[in-house]
Amino acid sequence: MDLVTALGRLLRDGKLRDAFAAMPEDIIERLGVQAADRPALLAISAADLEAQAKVLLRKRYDAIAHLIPDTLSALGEKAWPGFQDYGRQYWPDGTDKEIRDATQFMRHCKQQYRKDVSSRELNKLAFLSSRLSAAAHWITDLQFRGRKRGGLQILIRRNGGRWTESILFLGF
Amino acid sequence: MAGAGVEVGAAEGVEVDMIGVGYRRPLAKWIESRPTGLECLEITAEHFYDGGEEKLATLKKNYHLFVHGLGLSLGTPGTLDKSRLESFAKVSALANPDWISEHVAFTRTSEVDLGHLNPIAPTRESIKVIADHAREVSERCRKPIILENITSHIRLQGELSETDFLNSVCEAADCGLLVDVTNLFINSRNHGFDPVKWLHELEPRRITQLHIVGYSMENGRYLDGHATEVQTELLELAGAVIEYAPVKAIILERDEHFPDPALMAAELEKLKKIFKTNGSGHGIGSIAA
Repeated sequence: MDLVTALGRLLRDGKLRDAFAAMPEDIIERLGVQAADRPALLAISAADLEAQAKVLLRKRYDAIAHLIPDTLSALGEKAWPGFQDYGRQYWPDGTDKEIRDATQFMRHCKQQYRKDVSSRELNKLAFLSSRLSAAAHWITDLQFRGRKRGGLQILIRRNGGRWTESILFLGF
Repeated sequence: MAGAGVEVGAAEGVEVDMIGVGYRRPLAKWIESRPTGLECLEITAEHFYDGGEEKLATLKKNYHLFVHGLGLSLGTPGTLDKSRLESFAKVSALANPDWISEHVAFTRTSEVDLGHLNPIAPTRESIKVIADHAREVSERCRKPIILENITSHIRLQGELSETDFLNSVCEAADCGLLVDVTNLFINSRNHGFDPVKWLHELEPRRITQLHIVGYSMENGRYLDGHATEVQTELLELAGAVIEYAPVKAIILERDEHFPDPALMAAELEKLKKIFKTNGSGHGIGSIAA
């Protein structure tokens, strides 16, 4: 394995970084890093590696923020630390990875902080990752003027991959 | 420069001494008002992969454009991602920039897309990988290419110093350098070296463009958050670069916490002053590590 591939493995996998911090030579051996690249990997401090991984996690966090603003807002100060816990164990790849990353994070949050997950945003992500042309959901945690209320969420896919979301509810 | 038939640091048709900003949607209204002092724009290619041709045409009408890439991953061994290269080339063709730019970095491996810039070991093998890829991008786009230094918490060891590595990459690719002043400053602080000494180890004729944005700090580490006003020590370091090299353009970057137009204009004005005085009299002693 070359240095770039080995570094990629370490940066995406928090548990592997923990193991590298404890036993760097064993991990380099286990990864099968080519001899010429081993000194460069061994010279990396665990703190620097973790700091670089955190930069990548922050980019992921910023990339999903526009997809789940209500959830992040509800999580408040728990949002970024929560994402770091989750992101150390899961790395999205392939197409629509922001949608999958946001969905997985929502599932993680649902387990950790059940009341903070926006069902409206979870429905939206499920719709975006599906091929459905339309979907409708009754939601009970719609935030409006500082209150939770029920409403009908309607998602419609238009031409060219564009989509719209409408929320219908009664009252003021 | 590679594949473009023009000299390094003197891209064809380019007026010297231009100050501009990185184009971002929250700045669009201000940019479209054609504010005094805004002379050029840097377009992030990836922001236009899924459309925006009309917007590009409008911007092109009013400004000198440069096209900047984030995800071509020039440092990944093997072939470039052809789909991304074609998308990049399409944006370049639409924008018809004076030059294009990418990073001395990898964002992807054969196994995973890491989504952001990571460092390359300064080895002879890496020189060939980066230089071959830079030439390929330049030739595909038929534009001169310049390469940017990144910030990284990891400082990889190799056969060469970072500056010898950058000089060798530029030589092998026959390309220019985009010196990110903020990245240089952050690395110098986090890794404990003198940024001016580092700068003076580069071949000045290769330095074509600068990036600058304020840094932030967290837990004792300097960070490249692209979210704050440019600090005085960064302006001083930019002055040192301009004094040392024939810089053609400075791009003020901002990705978050966009200030109001008056503040953006004030930042451009500060950069213009440094540019016009060619860095003379800047207190570079205060920025040494």
